[in-house]
Amino acid sequence: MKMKLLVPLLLMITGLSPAFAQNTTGSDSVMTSMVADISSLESDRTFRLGIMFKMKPGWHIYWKNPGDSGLPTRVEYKLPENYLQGELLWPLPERFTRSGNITDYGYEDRVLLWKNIKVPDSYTPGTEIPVTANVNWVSCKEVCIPGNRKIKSVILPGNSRGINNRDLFDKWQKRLPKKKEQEYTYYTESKSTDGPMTEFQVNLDFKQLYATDLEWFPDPGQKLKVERISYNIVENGSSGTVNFFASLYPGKMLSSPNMDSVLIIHDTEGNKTGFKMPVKVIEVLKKAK
Amino acid sequence: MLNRGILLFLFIPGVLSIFTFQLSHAVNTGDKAPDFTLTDHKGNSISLSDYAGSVVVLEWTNPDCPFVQRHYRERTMLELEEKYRDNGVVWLAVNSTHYMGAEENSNFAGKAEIPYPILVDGSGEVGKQYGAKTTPHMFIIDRNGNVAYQGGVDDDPRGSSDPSERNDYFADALGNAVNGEEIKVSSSKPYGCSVKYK
Repeated sequence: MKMKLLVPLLLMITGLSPAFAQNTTGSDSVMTSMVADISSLESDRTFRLGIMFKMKPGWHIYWKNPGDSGLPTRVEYKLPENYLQGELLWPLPERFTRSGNITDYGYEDRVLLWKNIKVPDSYTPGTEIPVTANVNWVSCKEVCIPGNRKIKSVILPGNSRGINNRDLFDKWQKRLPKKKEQEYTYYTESKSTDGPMTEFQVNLDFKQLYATDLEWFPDPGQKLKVERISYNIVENGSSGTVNFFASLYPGKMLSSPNMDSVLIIHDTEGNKTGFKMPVKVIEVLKKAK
Repeated sequence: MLNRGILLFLFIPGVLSIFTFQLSHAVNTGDKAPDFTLTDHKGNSISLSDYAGSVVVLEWTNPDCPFVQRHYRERTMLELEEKYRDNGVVWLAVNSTHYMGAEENSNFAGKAEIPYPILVDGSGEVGKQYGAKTTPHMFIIDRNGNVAYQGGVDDDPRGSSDPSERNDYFADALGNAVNGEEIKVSSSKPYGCSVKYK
């Protein structure tokens, strides 16, 4: 019990220096640093391990679906044996559009990307945890610059900065897309076109809010071509639609009738909320070669 | 009766807005490749129609783009162009970067030892006509003048796959086109930097 009180007083996470370091390719459009939140390590045997990216003004890095160009940001951790890593978590992205009908999805200014890590049963509280992160990204403004960084570090549980980082992680946790509950209902209609694309319309009926704006981020992987996305708010914000065209790339197969996507709703209260929204796209198979 | 009223109320907005205006846009695979005339980095005027009857490759490029730089380091395009040159394949690079002209493209051709023309499309007109979104973005026009392939070089944007595991969509399609065979994978997701239109 007394050890528990002493533990928070222990010192800094070695190697996780507070200063951001430049990436190893020499460009300084993006700075990265590793951050950990170990506040749940003793209670839950889990901790959050992330990379904070800070971009210079005008530069952006990419979401898991980068859109028309760029590359998804990649974070990989090497941890001791039997540590379980969750998937990389992506806060709500933004859209960057440019001339030529090119839309990218990603982040500017700063973003925290992280994974939830579970320590094995064999882990003894108070033991240090060595970790190596391999981070790579593409940052673009007028030109694009690839970046990569290998960060070797040791996490020492019980340091006070771990508690401070909990607020940081909690703040970014709020920016993850939520699972939809009662906020709205939706259904998808499709219509064949003359060409290879199928037209889709997602009809949204908002229940607990009035929408002023929508943003939609498809996540089709390499399987589907998605284009000509448009949105509509109708009925004074109580309903709306997302329209898009999609086709299956030749030789690709659908592993599910649905495509993942993220819907961001801006409401009359000034809130911006993002939801995970699977969209039924199985009708693309009618035109598949 | 009330139920039917509600159903109609919900349905009408859906019906009205599903009628979307289809903007004319990039070429579909199978369509006739739009003709164009551009000046290359040496000052020659080049039209697509000059090459009717040949297999033509259009390679959207930008020397400032790390994806293009990697492919030129790995000689992806250079080797394919050389391989099929004797089969009469016409290889045209197109640069729609708004801030580059003949000089920048000449420098690129010189440094990378590019033997084929780089067409200067600074206005972006031809790029937008074809729907070129990335550099690189590859198009193959068959002997009938139709777009037979459009998309990425392969499925390895990071350049980290084992070549034996990589799908070389463009190279495979080019081989098919030269032999007059059907192209199985006639389009794929292009990857690269965004084309830097005006």
